[in-house]
Formats: sequence, structure tokens, C-alpha cells
Amino acid sequence: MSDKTKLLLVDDESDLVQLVCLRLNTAGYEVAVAYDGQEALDRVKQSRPDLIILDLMLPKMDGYKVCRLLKFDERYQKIPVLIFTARAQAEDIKLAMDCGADAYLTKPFEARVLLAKIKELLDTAKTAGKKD
Amino acid sequence: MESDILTVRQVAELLHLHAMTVYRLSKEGKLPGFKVGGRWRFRRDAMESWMVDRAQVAKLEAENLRFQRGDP
Repeated sequence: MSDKTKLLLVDDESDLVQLVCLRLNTAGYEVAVAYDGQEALDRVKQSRPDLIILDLMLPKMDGYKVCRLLKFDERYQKIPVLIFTARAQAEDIKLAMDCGADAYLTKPFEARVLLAKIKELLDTAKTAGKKD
Repeated sequence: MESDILTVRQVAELLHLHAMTVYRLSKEGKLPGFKVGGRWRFRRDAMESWMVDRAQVAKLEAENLRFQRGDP
């Protein structure tokens, strides 16, 4: 079994998924992909990721609901959720945070900003895990 | 008040494309449209999100090229 850090990337835009995956793989992460909200929940249950990168506008179930369902579930609530979305309004950010998201990144972003945010969230989760 | 739903003509104007191009891209699943009684319609927020995603793809493609070349 791989001991690489596992990320789940959730976005319905296949070109974007491919490019982000490529960069995350290069950075040493193992990446699973889901293209809609329901698939994201199924993937989390199948193989618990260390962090979830989640778009908000998704088919079947939007990212807000996915985030809320995960954060209200004791089994998954400690998995950091990084929202990355085109929605840049203050109310969108507030709604995502109210759903329990750990961080918010507005598209279009630079890959290095995404990588830095992922590292920061993983480090925070690791520190919190040690305290528990 | 702006409508939340756009027609092919409005999407063509928004993207500065010919209406036929919008039809073709929609049929190919490359634009986030849906059909109502055989006519294409587009949610404004879905189009806005789609445009940002295309900008994000372009940005990452350019970054990947620089990354592969080893540019700073």
C-alpha cells in the first residue's frame, strides 16, 4: 500500500482536473478524482482521503452540501476541505465556511498557491491530530 | 433585471462567437447548456463559472509549460 498523502479532487471540468492532477502528482501526492457531488461522497467512503479539494458548482449535489454532509459526520469531519471555486462573493465564502470548509481559494489561482494551501492544511491537521 | 437564463444568441454575444459555434459547442458538451423543448438554454451562473474554469485551465497550462522548461 502506498504511504503517499491521498487527496480527493472534486470538479466537473475534466481539463482542469487533468491539469491540477498532473501538478499534484508531480508534487508527490496520490490523487483520486470525483466529477460530481455524489461521486465525491462515495470516494470518501471507499478510500478515506487526507484532504479534499472541492468545487462548489457540481452536478447531482453541490459542493456546499457535500461539505456539510462530511463535516456533520463524525467519521469524516476531521478531513480538511479546501474549497476552490469561481464564486468570489463574500456571501459565497461565508456560506462555504458555515458549511465547515477549512479554507477557500478563488479561481483562477496559481498552482503554487494551491500547493501551499494544501501543505498548510495538512500540517494543521497533523498538529491537531497529535493533540487529540 | 438580468435574466438568470441565457439564450444561444446571448451566449454568442457574451463570448463574441457566432451562434452556430455556440450550437456546435453545446452539442459537443463543451458549453454548460441544457435543452428546453429542443432549444438550448444556459444558466448565467454556470456560464460565469465555466468562463472562470477556462481561464484557470489556460493559467495552469501556461504554468505547466514554464514548469516543464524549468523557468523560475
